[in-house]
Order: sequence, then structure tokens, then C-alpha cells
Amino acid sequence: MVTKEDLRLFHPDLVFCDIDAADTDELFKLLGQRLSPKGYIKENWLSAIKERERDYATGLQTRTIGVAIPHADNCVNKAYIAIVKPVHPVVFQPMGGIGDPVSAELIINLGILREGGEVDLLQGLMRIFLDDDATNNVMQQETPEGIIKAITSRLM
Amino acid sequence: MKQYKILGVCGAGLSTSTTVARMLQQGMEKRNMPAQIRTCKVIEATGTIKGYDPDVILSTVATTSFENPSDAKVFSGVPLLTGVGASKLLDDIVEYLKSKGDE
Repeated sequence: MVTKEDLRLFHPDLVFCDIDAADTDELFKLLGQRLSPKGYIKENWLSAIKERERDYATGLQTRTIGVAIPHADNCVNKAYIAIVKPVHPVVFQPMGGIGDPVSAELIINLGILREGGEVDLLQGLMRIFLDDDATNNVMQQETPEGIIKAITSRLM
Repeated sequence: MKQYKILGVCGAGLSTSTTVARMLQQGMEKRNMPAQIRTCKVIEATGTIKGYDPDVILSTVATTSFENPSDAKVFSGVPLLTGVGASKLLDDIVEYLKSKGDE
């Protein structure tokens, strides 16, 4: 079950619809610049997340859209969930190394503190992407508030 | 009734392994195949496989990124996250486990 505490991690201030990145490196750099002043991430975040994505890619091609869930441990000060709906899709390698590169239209960066944390949350998020209507509803939103509402209403 | 052992393997930190292992467990329970789950990081995989002796291994990292010292088959758990090919994967795993017999 997704707890109220989990839902509090979704915040419009951490939804970015104006990031335009040519590749994952640029995406992480730009996202880091947004997260850093807010105190969420440690100095090693950028190198940790890049390395993690290179070693264990997180692109997921669902039936409706490409998503990516980049994350790394030991580089987060306080738990957060950042959502990027990039101006142009960003190419991620597929999780598990099988299949084609994934053109990610939605990137969810789970900033987690403890190993094994937020399993219910991840499962809840993946359920949204298994549901075409729920996914389309998220993607049709054009404001951070709309995106947060479209996601959290499906998790409650 | 045999209690099957599922091992989920993922990179580290985020529990994609727990998520896929749980989804498999739920799918198997619907087919009256009770299962317990355990998860580990890829760097711990070889040791955990030796100690836990799973019936089936589900990985969200490349299935070639760790050594599997057992005869348990390694499946990619990614279809359970994307939904694409998920029911076929469940069927394949159930068939695999049944073909192994109740040992």
C-alpha cells in the first residue's frame, strides 16, 4: 500500500516540464541544477546517477509510452520524487539490457534514502503505466499540479 | 504443497527486484503455487543464489551480469514492470517450475 508519507513525496515544485536535453548526461546535469539548490541531493549525485544508469539502465518501454526511472543510492540528503516531462523525449537504454533504446517521454527520478525503500510506491507507479487511460491522463497534463494530481489520484 | 523460492536481482538501492518478485509471487499464488521471495543486489547475487537455492531467478539487470552457480533458470523481470509480455512471462515461469517437478 502507498502510504500518506509516500504521497507527500510528490510535489509540484519537483515536476519539470521545461527541461530540454539532448541525452541522459545533459538531462541529469539540468535536473541536478534544479534539485541542488533545494537541498535534496549530495555533491556526488550527478556522478552517481550517471554511473548507475550506465551500469544498470532504467528505460522501460510500456505499451503506451517510454518511461525511465533513473536513481542511485548514497547521494540523497532527503527523500524526494522528481518528475521530468522533457520538451523532447530523451533516449535511455532499456532496463535489463534487452530490446531497443527507449525514447523516454516521462522520467521519474526516485530519490530514496534506504535500500528497499518505496517498493509500494514503485509498484503503484508501474501500475499506472500498465493502464493506458491512466498513462494518457498523466501525459495530457501540462502543469506540474496537473501531473501530480493525475499520478497521486491513482495511487490512493 | 511445495513452497517455491523466488530470487529477485537488481542493481542496488531501488527495489525493482522486490517489485518484480512480488508481482511474480502474486501471479503464482493465483495459480495455487505458493512462493516466498528474497531479493539481492547484483553484486551479491552469486553468493545469495548459493545460500538461498532459489527455484527461479528474476533479474531487472542484464541476466549475464552475474554468475549463476545453480541450475535455477534466470528470467528477465522487466516485462512485469512494463506490462509488455508480462502474462507470457508468468506463463513461461509457471511452466518452467512445473516442468522441474516437485523435487
